[in-house]
Amino acid sequence: MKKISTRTNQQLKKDVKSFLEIYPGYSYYKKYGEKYSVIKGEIDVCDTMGNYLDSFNIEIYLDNDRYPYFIPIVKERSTKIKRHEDWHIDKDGICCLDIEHELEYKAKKGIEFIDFYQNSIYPFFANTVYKMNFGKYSNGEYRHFFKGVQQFYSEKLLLDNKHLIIGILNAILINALPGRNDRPCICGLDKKFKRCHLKCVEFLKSLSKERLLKDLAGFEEIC
Amino acid sequence: MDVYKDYMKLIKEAVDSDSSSYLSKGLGVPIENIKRSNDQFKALFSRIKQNEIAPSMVNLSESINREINYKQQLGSHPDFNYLKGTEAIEEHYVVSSFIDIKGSTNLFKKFDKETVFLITNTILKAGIHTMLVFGGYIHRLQGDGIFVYFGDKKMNEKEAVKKALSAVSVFTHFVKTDLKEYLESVGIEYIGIRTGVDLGYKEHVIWGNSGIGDISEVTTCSLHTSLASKMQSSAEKNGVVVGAHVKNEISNGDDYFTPVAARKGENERYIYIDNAKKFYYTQYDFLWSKFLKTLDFIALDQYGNPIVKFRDYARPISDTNLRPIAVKNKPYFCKQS
Repeated sequence: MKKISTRTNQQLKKDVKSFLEIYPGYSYYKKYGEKYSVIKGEIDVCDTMGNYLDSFNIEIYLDNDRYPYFIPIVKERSTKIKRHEDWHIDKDGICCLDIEHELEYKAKKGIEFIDFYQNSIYPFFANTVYKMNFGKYSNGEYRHFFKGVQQFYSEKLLLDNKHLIIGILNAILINALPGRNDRPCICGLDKKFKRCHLKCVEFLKSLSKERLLKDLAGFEEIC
Repeated sequence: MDVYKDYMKLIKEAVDSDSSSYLSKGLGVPIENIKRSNDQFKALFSRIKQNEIAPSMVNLSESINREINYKQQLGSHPDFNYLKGTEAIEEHYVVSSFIDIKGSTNLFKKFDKETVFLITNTILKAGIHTMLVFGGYIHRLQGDGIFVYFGDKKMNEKEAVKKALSAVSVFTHFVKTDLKEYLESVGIEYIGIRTGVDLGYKEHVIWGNSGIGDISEVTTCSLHTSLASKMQSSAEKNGVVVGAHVKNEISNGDDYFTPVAARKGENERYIYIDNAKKFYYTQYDFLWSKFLKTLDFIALDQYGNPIVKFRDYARPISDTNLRPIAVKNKPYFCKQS
């Protein structure tokens, strides 16, 4: 966990203030000593032509200590979204905005709240409205649980070979990766590592050890 | 804002049919022969009907759910019309708003007089319609200005103030965004509005017949109506200045108002001082854009732009228009820890 600093909390204060200037309909609640600050209000889904489509009552939880190295938790309060895993929401209304790997990567880099609202939270609700009307998500969805992790490795990291994935994860965990200019690549192809699998390995390296171990266990189980 | 698209369409057609457009197309026809025809002019002039708002504004009207009174007459608020031609007076609160369109003379540098007429008249109609939608009573038209009262005997001061501020916020947003953007694209740099709004409480306002015979109107006599006009001249371009009474009627007033003196860097914050009565009255810049975004009938899009919260259920949702936003999301379900 990142070291807690006054600067970090000032960042939260500054980012929330900027957010509320653009979206003044939201209210901000912060109680001294509590882990989370909460932003409450309505998210209005409008399309690119300025047509209003729907609204959801939401709460956004921001970790007072870890922000910006923390992914906000989004809770849908209006219960317009069916509490079912097919709608990517749990029984308490917590919304699953993206695959955990992508969220963890963003958290590691640090988020800027307005950008996260516009490009992660807002699209989730736009996509929900899309599914409510067209019966499916606009861009597909990740399968539930570990199958979704497999899908992520395949689609985003272009890694389909389970044995290769296990090899890469092990190499990251025991710090036995090839050098950038080493040939062959970790996959066995006669190519420099930097020209082959370096990019996806660097993404995986940015994830927590716990995440990598969990993925490793999952892939070993299905092998 | 989409509710003004019919007004904007008319303005654009007026500009497109201006004689300068023919010249710029190099048609080489003598100027006296290239004016739009009378029929063309009439068709544009009558596009927005006398007794109804433009179709695009119906969404706004329906989201506010208020019946519009088109039968209003200038200078005759229906609740006080009984005072016409009488010696009687009545004390009743009033919210006075002065909206002045600035810079319209610049239009003459660019367009012929018919085009200028169509543009200014359409802006005026858009303004009048906006005020009517929010229940305003148009008291007087002064050149390019609109003097409008808010409030009546069925409405309290708080509600009247909210209606007035909502109306001027929506209209100022239109002028500052849609209209400004378009006019700048055709080389008109400065056109905007300045607005002053003030509330006079019952004990400070007299309604009565002013003038003689037919040369008269039922109007208000109040320091605060006079101050509203003065405040309008203190406003920035596309700005709104209000009196302290207005601020006091709005919950969380400090969120939406800042003293004009702070903007001007003046030490003296009062627009009106009466030392004998120990009455010191402050004028405030109204943060209308922020206020607009908090109104019930306004939705905020992905980037915080205000949009009228009206869903036309007869019109199906467009895949093409929603997909570009939705596609950024690819959800995943896992049990939350």
